[in-house]
Amino acid sequence: MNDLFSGPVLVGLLAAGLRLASPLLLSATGELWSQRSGVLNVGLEGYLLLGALAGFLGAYYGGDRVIMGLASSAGAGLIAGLFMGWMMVWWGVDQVVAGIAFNMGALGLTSFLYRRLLAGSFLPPQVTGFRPLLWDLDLSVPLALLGVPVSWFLLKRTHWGLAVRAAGEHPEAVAAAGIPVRPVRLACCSLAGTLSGVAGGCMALSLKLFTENMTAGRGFIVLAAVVFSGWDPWRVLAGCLLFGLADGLQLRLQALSVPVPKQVLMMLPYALCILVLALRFRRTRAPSHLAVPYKPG
Amino acid sequence: MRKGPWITALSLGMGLFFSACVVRLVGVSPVAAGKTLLRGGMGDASAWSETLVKATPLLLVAGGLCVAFRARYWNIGAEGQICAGTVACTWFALHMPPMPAIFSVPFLLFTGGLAGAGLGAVSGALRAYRGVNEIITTIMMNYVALHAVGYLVEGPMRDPQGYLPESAEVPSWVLLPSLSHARIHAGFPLAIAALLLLYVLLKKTVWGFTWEAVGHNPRAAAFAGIRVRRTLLSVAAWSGAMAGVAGAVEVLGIHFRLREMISSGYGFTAIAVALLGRSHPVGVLFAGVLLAAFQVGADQMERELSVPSSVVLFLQALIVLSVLAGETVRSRWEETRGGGEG
Amino acid sequence: MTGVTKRFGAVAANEAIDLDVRAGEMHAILGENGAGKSTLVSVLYGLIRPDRGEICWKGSPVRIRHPRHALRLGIGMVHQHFMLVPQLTVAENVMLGVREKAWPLLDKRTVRNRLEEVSLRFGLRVDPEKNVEELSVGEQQRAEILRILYRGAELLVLDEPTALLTPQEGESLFHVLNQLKSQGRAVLFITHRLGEVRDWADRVTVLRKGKRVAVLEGKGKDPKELAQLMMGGGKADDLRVEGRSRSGRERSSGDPLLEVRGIRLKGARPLRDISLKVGAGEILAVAGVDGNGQRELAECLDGRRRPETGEILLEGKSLIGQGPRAAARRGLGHVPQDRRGEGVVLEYDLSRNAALRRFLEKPFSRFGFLRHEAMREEAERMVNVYDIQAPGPHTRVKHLSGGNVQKLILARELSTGPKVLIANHPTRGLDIASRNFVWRRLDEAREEDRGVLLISADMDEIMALADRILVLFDGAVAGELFQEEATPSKLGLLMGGAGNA
Repeated sequence: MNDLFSGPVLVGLLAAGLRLASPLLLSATGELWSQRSGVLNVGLEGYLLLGALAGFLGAYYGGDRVIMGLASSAGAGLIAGLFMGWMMVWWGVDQVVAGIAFNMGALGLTSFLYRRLLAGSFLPPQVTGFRPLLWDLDLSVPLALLGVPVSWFLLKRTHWGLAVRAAGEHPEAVAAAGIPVRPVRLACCSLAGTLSGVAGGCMALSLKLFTENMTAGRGFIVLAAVVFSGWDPWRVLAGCLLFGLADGLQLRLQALSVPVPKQVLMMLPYALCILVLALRFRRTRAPSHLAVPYKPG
Repeated sequence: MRKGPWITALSLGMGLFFSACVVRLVGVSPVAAGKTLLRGGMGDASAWSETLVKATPLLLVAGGLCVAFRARYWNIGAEGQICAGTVACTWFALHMPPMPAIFSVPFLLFTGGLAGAGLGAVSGALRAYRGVNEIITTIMMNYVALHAVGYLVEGPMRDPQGYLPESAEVPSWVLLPSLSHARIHAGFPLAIAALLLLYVLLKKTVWGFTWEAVGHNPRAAAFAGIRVRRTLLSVAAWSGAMAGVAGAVEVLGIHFRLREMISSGYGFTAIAVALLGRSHPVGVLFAGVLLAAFQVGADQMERELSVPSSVVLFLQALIVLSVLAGETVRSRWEETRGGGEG
Repeated sequence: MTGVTKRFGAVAANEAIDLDVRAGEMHAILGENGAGKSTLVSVLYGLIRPDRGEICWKGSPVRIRHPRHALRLGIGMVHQHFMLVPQLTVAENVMLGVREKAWPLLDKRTVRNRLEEVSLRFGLRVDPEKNVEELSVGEQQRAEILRILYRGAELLVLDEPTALLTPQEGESLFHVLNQLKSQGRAVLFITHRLGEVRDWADRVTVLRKGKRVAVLEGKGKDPKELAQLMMGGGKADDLRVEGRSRSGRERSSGDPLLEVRGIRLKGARPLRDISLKVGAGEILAVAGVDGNGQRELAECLDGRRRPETGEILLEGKSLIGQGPRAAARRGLGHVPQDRRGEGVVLEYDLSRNAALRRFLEKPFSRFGFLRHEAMREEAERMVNVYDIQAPGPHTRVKHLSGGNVQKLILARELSTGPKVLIANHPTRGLDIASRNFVWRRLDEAREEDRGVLLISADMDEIMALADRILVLFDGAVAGELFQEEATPSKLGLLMGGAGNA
């Protein structure tokens, strides 16, 4: 156990944690915007999966270039976000149910497409994916980290941020002020989709492959992170880092053949999530009109 | 409500249409796919028996979800609760003294239900007493439970004589009697009976009144003297129990042992069943059989047309989304006719 | 500034209504609830499109499609439920949607300076850096007015502006409006209070059942004449419950049925040491502006909340910790504040709602099974006795009008013959016929020797019904008066926290 906490191992752990946290952070940042504006995206898992597949396919068919992968994952996420946003904001369908259904659909679609397109080879197809920048970190990290201060600034100091914040708390007031509510919400929902799509793409590019259901519940961990960090960009960063570290730790411990069964280790991030939610220290308040569809007139 | 089923049917049609488009996109004729799907699921007696076998756990789980969803408690943890049921049932079956099936089977089903209820109740308590969103906690529990099963079949509960990661076979006196030569077992009529019971509970008892009141308007329910928190906890436990029973049924009727992937997505499909069935036991019956037929047919489709069976998941999702959209159309339409406030 | 003319004609809610407002004028729209005042104003503000008719602004016809458009023209509206985001500051609320030079960045300094300028000019003092939710209702209203003035509104439309204010706050509001008037703005306000018309309006347009009935000079008009026009039947006296048989002091001398001693509650809206008594055959009114603890008090009495200390006794026996069902069984009826949000389950039909509080007892259920027959019969009985307009016992309550919902709730609470009835803002938003109905039932309850605890902010209601009045301010009892010694201004002072006059 001693060598676990030695210098280089610790740095490696932190790096891994950071790298694992990046997709979570990207997705969480997008969802932060969406929820502040009043739209709840239970379907984050779906966006991540779609983004992962799109990212992988983009790189695979696009000359093995990372940029193609990222672009396609962003595109896929954007389309998905627009579609779901349209359903939830314009049609006003129940956001929770729609999100659940969307996750199912995304899982089915991605598995279906992947097998259809790339089945038949013995070895799972791979791409080169991200090249490590520093200490095993790759491109996803700065991408994700950038989002935090940018979001903070935009939310607090610009008119767009003001409109978004108001839309989630009191959409009627926003309409009375002359800002159309539904386009604002649609934009935020699409942002969540796009960023989550990119996050999924990063996951695929980091691991250099795609497997069915590779996100394994991360979309919900992101949801949890947004909730218990009180809808604040900096605290979301902290939350995602926490989960990333847990994930990284769990992987390391497995590799070090610690005398704990590997499944118990794999449970770690999920159990941590429940624990963190249960021990919510501060009563942070959700946007008042979260998941309440707005009907003008 | 008379227009309701029409809108559902219309939405169903739209969902099927969109799925057909997607299937066409990958170069398969939707008509051929559809035919194979239906033939595989409902074409002949053996297809039907497979369908009903697959439908059994769906009906049980979705029945429990009816209760939860009516109270607007989103239990997405059926997967994990099924696992809990399989574990409990198998463990007791392997460690029980011999006894006639008429005692052992109900007891084992009960243990399955208890385990599922326990798991569900954790999320329920977190929601009821700490306000924690149950969608997240139940899904997290899914992963915890799934991994737990994985650990158990490789470790403590592994069959000492076998070489696969699974438990020993449960003794024969605990099996569910099978009906006819096919794989159908007594679990199916049990599921039907459960749905019937649920129907009575929902529509004719004070419990149904309570669940729906909490789902529609918790403040008014509190005003009516309903203990909202306790209700939430109980629907969480109840739906967990039904899922646990489904798990036990699968062990005692089909698999006869504990292994991973007994559930293989039943928990999520059951959610679709509950949604399509509008959280009504009769709707659940139809939706459950339908979706089970799709599953069986999808396997057939994969064999014959090499269309991966996961397309069925996609189909399900499209159908649910279409039905949701149909719902909003209907309620908006009702608003403009029913007249607003004075 | 030339005069402003508007002509509307819309079916059903508004029929062929003409209205014109001049610059530098205070114009009132008078009518009871449901007469079409809000609809008319919504058309003006672009929230609703009229079926027929036209609007002329400053001499030219316009089509107002959207509140944005109205605001751009110079028409600003102050709604009854403020269009302010509670979680943002006043300054942020003002900035919402306004493009200053620094767009898209928020230019707080410029906004703050301009705000100061505007607020000085019109005498509206509000701290722009405070979150709206921290302001009192009167301050919030001022912030709302500031917001539209900031955007250059020339015509201000106010919907029932004094509904949530104490009489004193209402006075200061009208002084502010007068100031606006003298600076050339036009003010259009909706009200159903005759006194306001008499005291402040230059002209008044009276609406009744969707039609315009009269346009008159407002100041100094005899309220009875206005009431006649508003009601159209010379039944102005119906507004007051018929004569008092005994004085308030007499009535309050009986044994207390409901006794509350020293209740304390922590939280956002705390209750500080509240004590009160309601006797048989007495109506005790708990008066106060919304948000001073009335809701919390009602929840404690009802059993939904548990006070930290104190006692609540019904006929001498404690109610604390018993829960709403036990309270109901012991004879405490409760007509809640939010009739659609608390009093009924909207998706349920009449028969289920009729049994809502007693569904666990005979005759509505036995051995856990609901007895739908009994529920239906009960609903039918209520419909007959209370004249509830509904297609049938299986209609969902969400389709009923406010008055009918309230009748259902009243019927339900009174049907068990309660010893004490708590009526929490029972006539809010109801038309006059329904309101009189409710008043009559409360009076009846009093005559039947029940105790009635009336929680209200409606001065007319309190003066009409109460035998004794308790004023609540900031979670504590600010004062107590008997009916014969109470006047609106005394009550207003207490409600505004000014202490005993």
